[in-house]
Amino acid sequence: MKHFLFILLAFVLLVSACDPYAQDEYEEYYVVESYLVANALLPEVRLSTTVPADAFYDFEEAAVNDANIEIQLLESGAESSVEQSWSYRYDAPGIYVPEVDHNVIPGRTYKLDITLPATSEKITSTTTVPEAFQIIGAVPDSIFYQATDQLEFTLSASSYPGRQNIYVFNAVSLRPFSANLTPFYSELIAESDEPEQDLEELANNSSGIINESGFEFNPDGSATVQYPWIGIAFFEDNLIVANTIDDNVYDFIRSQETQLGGSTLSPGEIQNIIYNIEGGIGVFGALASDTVQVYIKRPGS
Amino acid sequence: MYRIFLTLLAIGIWSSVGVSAQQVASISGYVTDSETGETLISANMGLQGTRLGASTNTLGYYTIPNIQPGTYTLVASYIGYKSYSREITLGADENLRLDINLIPESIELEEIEVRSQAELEEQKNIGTAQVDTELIKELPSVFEADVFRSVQLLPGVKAASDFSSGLYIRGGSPDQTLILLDRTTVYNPSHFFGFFSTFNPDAIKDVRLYKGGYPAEYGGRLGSVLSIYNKDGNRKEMAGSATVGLLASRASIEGPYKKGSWMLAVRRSTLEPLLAGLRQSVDNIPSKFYFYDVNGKINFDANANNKFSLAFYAGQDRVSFPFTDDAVFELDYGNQTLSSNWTHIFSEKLFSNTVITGSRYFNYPNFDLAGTPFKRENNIYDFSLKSDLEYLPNNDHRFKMGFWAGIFTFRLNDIFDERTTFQSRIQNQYASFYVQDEWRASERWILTPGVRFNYFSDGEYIRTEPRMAIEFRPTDRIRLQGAYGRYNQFITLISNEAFSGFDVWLTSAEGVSPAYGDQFVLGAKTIPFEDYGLDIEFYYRSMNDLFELDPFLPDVGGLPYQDVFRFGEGYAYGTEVFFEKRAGRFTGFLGYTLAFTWRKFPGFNAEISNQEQTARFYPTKYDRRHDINAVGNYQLSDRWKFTASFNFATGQSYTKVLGRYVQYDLPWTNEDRNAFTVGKVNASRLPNYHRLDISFSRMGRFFDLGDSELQLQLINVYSRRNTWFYNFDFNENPIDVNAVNMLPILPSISYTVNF
Repeated sequence: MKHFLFILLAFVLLVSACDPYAQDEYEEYYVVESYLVANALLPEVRLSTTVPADAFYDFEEAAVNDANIEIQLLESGAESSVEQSWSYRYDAPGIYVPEVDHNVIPGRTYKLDITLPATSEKITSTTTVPEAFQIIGAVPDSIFYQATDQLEFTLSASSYPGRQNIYVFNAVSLRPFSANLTPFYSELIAESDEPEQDLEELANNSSGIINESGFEFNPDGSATVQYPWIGIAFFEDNLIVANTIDDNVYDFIRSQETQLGGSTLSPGEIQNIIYNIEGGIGVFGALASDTVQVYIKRPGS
Repeated sequence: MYRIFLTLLAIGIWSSVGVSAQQVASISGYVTDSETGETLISANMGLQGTRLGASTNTLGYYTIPNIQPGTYTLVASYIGYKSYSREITLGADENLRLDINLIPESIELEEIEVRSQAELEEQKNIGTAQVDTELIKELPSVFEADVFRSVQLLPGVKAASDFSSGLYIRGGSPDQTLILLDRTTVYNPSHFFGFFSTFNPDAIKDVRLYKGGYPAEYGGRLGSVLSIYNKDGNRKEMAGSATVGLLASRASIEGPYKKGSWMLAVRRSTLEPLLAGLRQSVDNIPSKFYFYDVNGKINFDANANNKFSLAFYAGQDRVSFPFTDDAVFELDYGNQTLSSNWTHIFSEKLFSNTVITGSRYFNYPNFDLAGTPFKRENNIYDFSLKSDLEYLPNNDHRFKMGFWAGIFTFRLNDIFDERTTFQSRIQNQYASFYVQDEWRASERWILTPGVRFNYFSDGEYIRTEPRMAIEFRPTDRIRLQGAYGRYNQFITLISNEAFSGFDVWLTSAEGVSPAYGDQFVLGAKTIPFEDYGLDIEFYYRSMNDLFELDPFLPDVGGLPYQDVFRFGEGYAYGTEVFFEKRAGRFTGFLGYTLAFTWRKFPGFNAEISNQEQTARFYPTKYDRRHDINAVGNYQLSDRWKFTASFNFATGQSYTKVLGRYVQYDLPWTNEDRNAFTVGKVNASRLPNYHRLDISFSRMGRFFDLGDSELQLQLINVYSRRNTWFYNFDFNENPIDVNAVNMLPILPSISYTVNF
C-alpha cells in the first residue's frame, strides 16, 4: 500500500510540475485605425502602439509620429497592382491626414501601406469598400415616439462580395440634452455612475451588427427597414444613419464585443480580436452609409 | 475495430449455447423492500456454498439460471437491509419464481452497515459511481438538497462555479452527459438559471453515474451518463413527508392500491415573501420569480410476469423583471417528461423492458425594451420507443440487446420587433441498436464486449460504436479493470456557464458531422481493510468534430446552418483516486482528481500575428489541475448527526490581459472602444478554491404525527471569497481589475416531517 501511494504521489508531482502552457509576456504592437466611407473623402489614419494593461493609457504618449503612410487604390482586388496612391502627412500626435483629397470609390479595393523609417517595419492592410446605397422613397419628417406605425424606410439594393450585406444603424441626436431623453434611457442615465459620459455616448446610439436577411425585401431588391424604438434615445431632431460594413470592420466589432463577455464563452475566457492587418493590429475598414433626418415627437405633444 | 468486438460477442453466444442444453433448474424474481414494496436495484443473490449468484437489475429483477437439481440455501443481501436466507429444493427443469422482501435494518449506533457484494460490484464497475439518495439529503447544500451538487463531489466531476449545478465530467461540458429520468432524456435539468438541478430528492430512488467508458446499452453522448430512477411508491402503506426550507419547500406522498402503487412529489420555491419585503426598500426586484416541479408515478402490477408504470415529471421556472418603467424581462422555461414502461418476463432466462418516452423542453425569454420587443421560442420534442432484452442462458453470460428509436423535433424562432429574424424547425429520426454480453470467462476474468449502431436522419449519419470492458480479479480484494469505447453525439448545447436560462440545443445535419470520441479507462478497485475502499482510475478521451455555436457571430440570420458553428477538437486525461470508509459511526470519502482538459478551434487562441494558421490547444475554464473533496458523516448520538464536506481545487484557468489600446473613430458611435491584447487563452489561474460546509441534523417527533428532522447548515463556514472571474473597469486609468466573487458564508435551515 505504501509503495502504491508513494508511486501515485510521485506521479502527481511529476505531472503537475510540468507546465508546457506558460503565460506569455506582454508584447508591444502597432495599432492602426482608419475607416473609408464610400463617396466620402479619404479619412485620417491613427497610428499608435499598445501599452501594458496595467499602465496608464494616453493616446498621445502611445502615438507613432514618424511613419510614412500611403493609401493605395488597387486595380482589381487585394493582390492586384496599385492604380493610384495618396500620401499622408503628420497632422497631430498619432494622426495622419491625406495630402490631397480623393473621394472613396464604392466597390473598389484600397490598401493601407505604412512604413516606419526608424525600424524598416511595414504595416499593410486591404479593404473592399461596400457598394453605395441610398435610403429611397418617402421618410416622414416627424413621428410620435412609440407610435404604432414605426419609422420605416427603404434601402436601395446593395452588395458585398461573397456574403450578404451587414448593417449597423445609428441615431445621432442633434439636441442630446438629458431633458430630451426618451423614458427608458432617462431612467438608465438617472442610475448611471457616469451620467455625462453615458449621455455623450447615447447621442450617437447604434444598433450593433444586423444581417440583411432580417429585412423585408421588395421585388426590386430594395429592403424595407422598420427602425426599432429602442434605437431612439432622444426626442426631437435625430439623424438616422444606415451603414453597411466591410469584412475588416465586421471582424473587428464582432470579436471586440466578445472580449468583455456576453457570448457563449466562459467568463474570463478572452480571445484576441480578429485582425486583418499585416505587421500590426487595429482596423483599416470601410463602409457605405446614407442618412435621413427625423423629428421624434413626444407622445401627446 | 468493431469486428473484434463482434467476434467476442459471437464467441460468447456460442459458448452459452453449449451449456444451455443441460437439464438444469433456475430461480428468478423481484427483490423489494418489505416496508415499502420498492424494488431494490443491485441487490445481491447467491446460493450458499456455490459460486452461483446474481444481482437485481435496474427493475429489481434477478435470475440465477443453470442450477443443478438439489437443495440449497438462497441468501439475499442489500445495503441497509437484514440478510435473507431460505432453504430451497430444485428439481430438474424447475423454474422457481421467488419474489423476496428484504427487511430494513433499524438504525442503531453501533450497527455495522450491511452492504451487498453485488451492489459494491455495480458501484465498482469501471467508470461507475452511485450516489446514496440519503446522502443527497444529508449533505450541506445551498438552501436546497440537490442531486447534481452531490454528484459534483465525486472525483472526476467538477462544477463551473458556486452558482452552477452543471456537471463537467472528465473534461466534458454539461451537454456531453446524458441525463435520464426513468429512462427518459431530460434536456435542461436546472432551476434558477442553473443554480439547482430539477430533481426532487424526495422522489428519487437511485442515482447512477457512468463517468466514462460506459457500456453499449447507453449512447448518444460523448462523455457520460447520469441515470436517475424515481421511486415507485410505497406498496404497503400510505406514507409521505413535508419539508420546509428557506428557498423552497417540498412534499411527497405515496401509497398502495389494489394492483400496485403510486407516488407524487411536489416542490416549489417560496421566495415570494422575501421578494415582497425587498420590494419595499430596494429597487429592481423581480415581480415574479419562482420554480416548481412535480414528479408522479403509478404502477400497475398486471400479473407476476407483467408490470406497467406511468411516470411523469413537469418543472418550470418563471421570472418577470420590470427593471425600468419602460423595460421588462420575462423568462419561462422548463421540462416535461412522460414515460410509460412495460416490464415483461418471458421466462426465467429472458426478461424485457419496453418504454415509450416523451420529453419536452421549452424556453421562452422575452424582453421588451422601450417599446421594442424581443421574443424567443425554443422547443424540443423528443418522442421515442426503447426496448431492452436481457437474456441469461447460464451463470457465465448476461446478454443484453435493445433498440432506441425516436423522433426529435427542434424549433427555434427569434422575433425582434415583431419580425422573425431567425427561424428553424428541424425534425430528425434517430435509431440505435446495441448488443452486449457480460461474460464471466472464469472466476478471475470478466469480459463485456458490446457494439452499438446509431442512425441519425439529418445528414443520413450511421455510426458504429464498439465497446469493451475487461476485469481481472487477482484476489478477492483487488479488481483490475480496463475499458474502451467509441461514442458519438448528434446534438450540442448553446449555453453560458454563468447562466443556463437561455439554453438552446442544436443538432448535427448535412455539413455538420456528429461529434465523436474514444475513451480509454484503466482502473483498480481495492479493499485495503475491512469496510474501506480504495479505487484509482486513469482515463484518456478524445473529442473530434466538436460543433458549437460560433461565439463571434452577433447575428446568425441568413447564414447557412453549417456556418453558425465552429468545429473543433479536444482531449482530456487524468487520474481519480477515491478512498471511502463504508461502515460504522463515521462514514465518508476522500476523492482526489488530477485532470487535464484541452480544446482547439480554428482561429481561436491563435498567435496575434498569425491568426489564420496558429490555433492552439487551450485549457477550458473548468480545467482544474487538482481537485480534492472530503465528505464525512458522524453519528453523534441517536438523535444528532454531523455532516461536513470540504473542497479544495486549483484555481480555474482564465486569460490574463497583457496589453490594451483604444479605438476612437468608429463612425456610428461616440464610444471609445477599449481593446485588449492577450497571449495564450486561459494560461493563467485564479486563486485556489476552497470551501467548507457543515450540517447538523436532529431527529425527533412532530407531535404524534411522525418523525421529524431539523437540519442546520452553514455553507462556506470561514467565508472564503473564492474568485469566479475578473471584471475590468475602464472608467479607471489604468484599468481597475476587480475580482467577482462567489458565495460568502450562508446559513440554511430546513425542517422535515415524515408521516
